[in-house]
Amino acid sequence: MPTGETPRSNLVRIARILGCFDQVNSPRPTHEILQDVGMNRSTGFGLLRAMTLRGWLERVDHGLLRLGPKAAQLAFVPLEATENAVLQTAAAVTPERGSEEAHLAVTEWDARLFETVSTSQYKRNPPFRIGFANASLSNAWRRAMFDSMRYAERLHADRIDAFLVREAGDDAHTQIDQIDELLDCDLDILLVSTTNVLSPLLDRKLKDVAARGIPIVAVDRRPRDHSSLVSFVTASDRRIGRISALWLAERLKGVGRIWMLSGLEGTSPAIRRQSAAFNGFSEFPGIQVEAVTYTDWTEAGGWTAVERLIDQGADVPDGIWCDSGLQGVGSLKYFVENELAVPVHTGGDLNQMYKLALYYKVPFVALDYPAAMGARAVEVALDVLSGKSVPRRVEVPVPVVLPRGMETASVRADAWAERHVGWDLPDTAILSQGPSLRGTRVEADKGAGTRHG
Amino acid sequence: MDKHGNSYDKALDVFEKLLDEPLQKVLSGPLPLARAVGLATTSGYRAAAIAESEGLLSRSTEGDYLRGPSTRTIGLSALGFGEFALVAEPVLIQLRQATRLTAFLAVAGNSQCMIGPHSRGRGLTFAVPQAQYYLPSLPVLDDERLAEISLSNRHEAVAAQRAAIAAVSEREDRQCIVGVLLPGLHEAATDDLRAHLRKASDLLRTQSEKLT
Repeated sequence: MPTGETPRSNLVRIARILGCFDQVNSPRPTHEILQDVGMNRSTGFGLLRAMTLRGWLERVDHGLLRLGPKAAQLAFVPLEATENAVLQTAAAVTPERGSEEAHLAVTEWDARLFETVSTSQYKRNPPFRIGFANASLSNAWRRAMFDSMRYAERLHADRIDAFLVREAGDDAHTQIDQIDELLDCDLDILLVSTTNVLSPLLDRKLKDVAARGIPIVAVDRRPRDHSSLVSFVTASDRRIGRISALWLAERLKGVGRIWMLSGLEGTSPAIRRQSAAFNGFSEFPGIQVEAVTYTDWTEAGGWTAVERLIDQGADVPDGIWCDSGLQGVGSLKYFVENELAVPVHTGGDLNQMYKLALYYKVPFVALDYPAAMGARAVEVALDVLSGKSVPRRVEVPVPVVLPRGMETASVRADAWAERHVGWDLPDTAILSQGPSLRGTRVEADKGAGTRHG
Repeated sequence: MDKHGNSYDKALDVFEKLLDEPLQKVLSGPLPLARAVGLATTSGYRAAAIAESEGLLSRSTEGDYLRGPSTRTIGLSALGFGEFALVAEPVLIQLRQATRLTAFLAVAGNSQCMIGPHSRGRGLTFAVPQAQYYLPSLPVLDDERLAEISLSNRHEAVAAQRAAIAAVSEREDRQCIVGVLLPGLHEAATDDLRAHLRKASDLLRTQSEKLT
């Protein structure tokens, strides 16, 4: 059977019966289905009969079943949560039809997203032992990503024997030692968020782990040499940079002075976002990038960067491009507290950025780097250990968040800022954390207890 | 009916409601989902957690429930094209981002067009597809394996939607297609749109060949 244990809930049994057919829906003998799902004949036949009566299964010959017409209706799956009301309102404010053509230039096909990896060699029987070598918990986003992982761990508690965690304080040598510690704990799979993209020692260590037959899934940050990885769970920094720049330029009607406030100098997300934003601005000859500076992704960094430029005698710009709200709040507060006109801003992630921008009615666009990728990484790890094919690169979607009425010809809202903001949540909350943000109870089928290292 | 019979029917009732309610309304947490399904709070929380852990439901960053990845695999397998379940998501999202139109994977055959996974368009081109349309015959493809088709509701002569499609795979008397809903009934696909459809079809075919 798929997961090695006997399901105690009829919901689980139904799900697993429907999931035990192949890609072309080949008929299967009933006894084989029951064996796969771990059900005995007395209860199993009754459930199969009930499912057949309702059209979830259909009988094709004596003793042979396959998925029925009702199961086919499950293919109808919206891939993103988009509210009708949101989108209908969006349509109402759309400027003019001709501008629709502009959208075709917004994206190019990213071939990296379509490569898949067979993982049959890693298939094990649950429950699994998962290790997570985490770079650090040094900022709100990283804590949010970890909370998201914990949510997934609780959700899948019946399949996880141990979820062992080490936190390296952003030090590559510490992380290497901690990976050794985790390996001593008899791991089935290693999750890693690397401390340093340029560490050859870390590259070597991860190659050693892979050579021992232990699959590795990276999340958020990967090593430079990614040949040791089965999969990498991330989000598109390029999309964050490009869409935010495009919105800012269109909001300014293609003419204006911009200051660019990047995150931490030399880090790959900051480089990729900045580079994509430059490309976006370059399509608008009337946009002048007056300053490019770094902020360490901190509020203080954002404040100081703006203060320095103003002190140098620069006029307040028309727009401030921030690759995150982590520094965006510092910039925004500087203008508010000095009673200056607040320029158009970009940058999401932090709840306080949304609160301030909405309160002071500052036009802004936000593309949150999704902390929910933590949960996604756990799910990919479970898929690998179940022997399912997985994507080589998993990109968690980055929705465009805009206040109502702030859409431009090319950039439309996936979500409204007025709904996205958490007025009841702390300023430091990371809104892209997913369901774990609001402390959702999880009461999945209780299996083996989970232990933490 | 014996007691097992009753419990199976109850479980199937809950199963069906859990998967149908998120299609009807925005359900932003286990409690609204439990209410929509008609379960007591504790049972509702438990059922939602089981459905999520089995991949039948998933949740957006806003916490809203959606049908999960397992439903996509089960549904497409039931239609005979399960090999496209894994790669459908990135392909359709990129197709939607590139065109801003509602992008879908579907299976045509038996006078029907069953819509599968889809990514909804934005702005003026917003369109929510129905789960199923009447399609009297399989699309007639041009040299590039593309076509434009009219999709209508059963028993209605007037088309409800017009779509530009590309063939992905054929099996017996059915055709798996990738497409976008055109913004108007008299719109024609542009060259850019046709190029994106060809790309989507090629990617789906290539990746699914690797998986099989």
